[in-house]
Amino acid sequence: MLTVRILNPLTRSVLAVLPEATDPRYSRRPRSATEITVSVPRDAPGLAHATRGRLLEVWRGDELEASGRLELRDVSGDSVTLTAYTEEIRLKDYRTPAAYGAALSGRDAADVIRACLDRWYPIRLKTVKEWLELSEHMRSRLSSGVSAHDAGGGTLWLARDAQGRYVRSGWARYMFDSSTIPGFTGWDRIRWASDYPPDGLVYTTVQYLLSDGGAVPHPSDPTGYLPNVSWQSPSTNPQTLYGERGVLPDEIGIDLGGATNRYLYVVLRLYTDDQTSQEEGEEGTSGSSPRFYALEVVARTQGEIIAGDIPAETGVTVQAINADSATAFDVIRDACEQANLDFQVVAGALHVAESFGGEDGLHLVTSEGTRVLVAEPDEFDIITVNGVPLHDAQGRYYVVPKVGG
Amino acid sequence: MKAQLLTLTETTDGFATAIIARGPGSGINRWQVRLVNEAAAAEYGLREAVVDFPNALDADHLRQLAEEHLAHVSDPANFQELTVRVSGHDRPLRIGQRVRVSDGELGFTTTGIITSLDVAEDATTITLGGVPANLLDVVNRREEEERRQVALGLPAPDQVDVQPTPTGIIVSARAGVASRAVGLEVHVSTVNGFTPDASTRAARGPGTRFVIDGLPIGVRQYVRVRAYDDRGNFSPFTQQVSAVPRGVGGPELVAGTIELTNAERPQAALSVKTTAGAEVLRLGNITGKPGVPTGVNYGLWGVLGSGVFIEGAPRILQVRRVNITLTHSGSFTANQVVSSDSTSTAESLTLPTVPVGYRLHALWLPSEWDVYYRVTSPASVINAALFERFWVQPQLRYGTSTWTAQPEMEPSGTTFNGIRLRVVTRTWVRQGVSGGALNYVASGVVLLALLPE
Repeated sequence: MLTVRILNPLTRSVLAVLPEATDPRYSRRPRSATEITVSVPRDAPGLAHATRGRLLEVWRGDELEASGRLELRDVSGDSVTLTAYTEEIRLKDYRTPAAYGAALSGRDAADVIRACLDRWYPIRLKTVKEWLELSEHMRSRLSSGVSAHDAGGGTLWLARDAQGRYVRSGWARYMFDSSTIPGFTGWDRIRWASDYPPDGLVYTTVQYLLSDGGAVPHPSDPTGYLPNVSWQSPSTNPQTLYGERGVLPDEIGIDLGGATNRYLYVVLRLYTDDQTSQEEGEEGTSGSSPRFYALEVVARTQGEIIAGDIPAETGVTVQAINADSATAFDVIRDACEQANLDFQVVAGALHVAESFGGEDGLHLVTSEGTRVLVAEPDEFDIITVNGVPLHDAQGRYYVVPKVGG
Repeated sequence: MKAQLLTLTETTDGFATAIIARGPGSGINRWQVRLVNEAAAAEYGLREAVVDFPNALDADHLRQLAEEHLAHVSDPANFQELTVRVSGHDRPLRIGQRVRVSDGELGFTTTGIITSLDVAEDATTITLGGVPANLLDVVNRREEEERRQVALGLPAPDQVDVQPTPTGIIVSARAGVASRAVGLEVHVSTVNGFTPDASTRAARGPGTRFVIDGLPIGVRQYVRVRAYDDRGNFSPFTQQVSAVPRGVGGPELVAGTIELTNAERPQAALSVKTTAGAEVLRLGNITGKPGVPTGVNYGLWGVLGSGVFIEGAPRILQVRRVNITLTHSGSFTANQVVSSDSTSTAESLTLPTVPVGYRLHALWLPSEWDVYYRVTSPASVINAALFERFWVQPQLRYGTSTWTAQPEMEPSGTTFNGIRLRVVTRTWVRQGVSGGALNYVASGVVLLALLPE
């Protein structure tokens, strides 16, 4: 006998059991969130709990047959059709930051998949107001020798001195507080877009410091921040540059490794070796300034899906992941396709394997009566023992390829 | 006109409880706003969607567009459609028309906007959007008795409101989702506590808003509303509400009156009191309350920090007076400038417990300082020196040796254990004193303030 249970999506506690459910249908496809539909009489007890966002489970006797998140209801005639999508759909609620593919590429597929279980929480500074004022995630802001302008949608520049020249260097320090981020689990990375032309006379660098409180060095002392490296600028009027210049800084930036410190200090440094050049017609001012176009701090926050059986490593390095504000589902699917893996979310846990059908070509198919089998069921025979079909704990039957099939 | 409900369907495409709105540009070099409808997220889960607004003019415009978009996509009512077959109607139905649908069998009444039409000779199938999000829940109620009551119910209208206009009043009321009402009847009278009858009936019909014009200006009008069904039954009347047609150019608020559920009393006021009975906020008559100037009878009064909280208003928690002494000895000659840069002895400082939600924000100095000096040896020489520059900066210390002049920059919860003044001075000695000693004394008041986080 089939029963349908409605569960709280957060606690998975049972809110209602709908014993009069009929005509359950569902399908399974590799690396997909697929439909589960079931019809319930309109006056069925407990139907009021079957609302959007709740979890729906289909049970055959005491065996769980399918589970998913309820998305649609359709009232027609005397019945209500409930439509859910298997729990992989929940991975579509997570979004990567913009242009995040490079940050995921070049890693083992299993690491990429695990990296998708927490949510991303980007904090971006772009407008003049964001450059100059405290925001909801910031505890303090210090700066020296910089100014912000509306140009380009909001950019950070060097300030000018009394003679109208850009000052040789300036900095701005922003202090982010993880306690303002709901469900914070760690600091992911710092990314920025700025000027650092290969043959120019202007330079930008970034430094950071992680702290749990107490005193930190003044940002005018760059040796107190990471990375503590320096070099001479390549000009006839050189100065010492400190910090991280960055490779693909607006995509990869500085990886913070998931550090869980409460405070993250980010210091933006601007340098110029040109205080004298003038544009045509420029009067009263001189020099050139580098610009910071945007700063982004990416934090990670608690996701709703936990890690199930995921291999420690797959041996496949993921390349060219498309992750421009993509869903975690899309990223995991891409990673699995590159590594020839399949994934499922069952009971709130993500499982990854080459196949969920067993070994040596065995496949699992859905239970009798659900009307949906593997893609080409005619090519398989159900394994029987003394005439009784062999099935697993979830009621799915073991099959083998037909001889000559 | 007959109506038959065909289907009631939810859709899911585009539904989200949080959006990441992106302005023009690419990568991270663009404005970005993340908004969450907390109420919807709690009900349906945190579902993020990314929406690009390439036409956003600036960051504020992007936020405005994002808020409008989120309000739409996080409301399940916008993802729900009701399909109804209508027959026997004598007027053509139109896209965008607001219609009310009652279904006695299913037990609901609702209002929606026609989003599509399929017209045949004898019937028209209409699709309604914008129906209430809980409509399915109403339909799904299982209890037969409850359903019967819902289907048969004709309660008094709710959410009755009356607003004055220059020439009359506007009455708004709703029959409610669990009502079989097909219309409302509005009664108006100038008699407080009137009993409605045929002579007081001012408006009748379907809808929820009734404009009643031609009423005398400045005369209070009392209103009661009842609902009726398609079988000639009436609901009970609502309690009366009232308003005064204000006339063209008349004042919105008549000075000296406060309206509280139809009461007109000069002493009327709305009070907020603590559990101990202390009044911390009053709206209305505030005569005689502490701090209220004589002659002010009406307004808003409150106890700052108890009933009244103003964002950004500093709350001074501690006042410290700090003295500093700086002594110079030596042989001075006339017209000599003596430079000094020194700090006072650190004093211990115990900050009060910072309340939850507040943090140390600023350290202030008053604009005027007591600064004086004397020549101590020989004591007889007075006015021998003048300050060419005297600059004092207060500093706080945390840890064992780190001083800061900007406590607002430190993280919330930082403990300060010392306070001192730092003095930079240049003194011009007008009269030489061989072997003399100068003694400077500066004293001032330091204010520590806490602001809400």
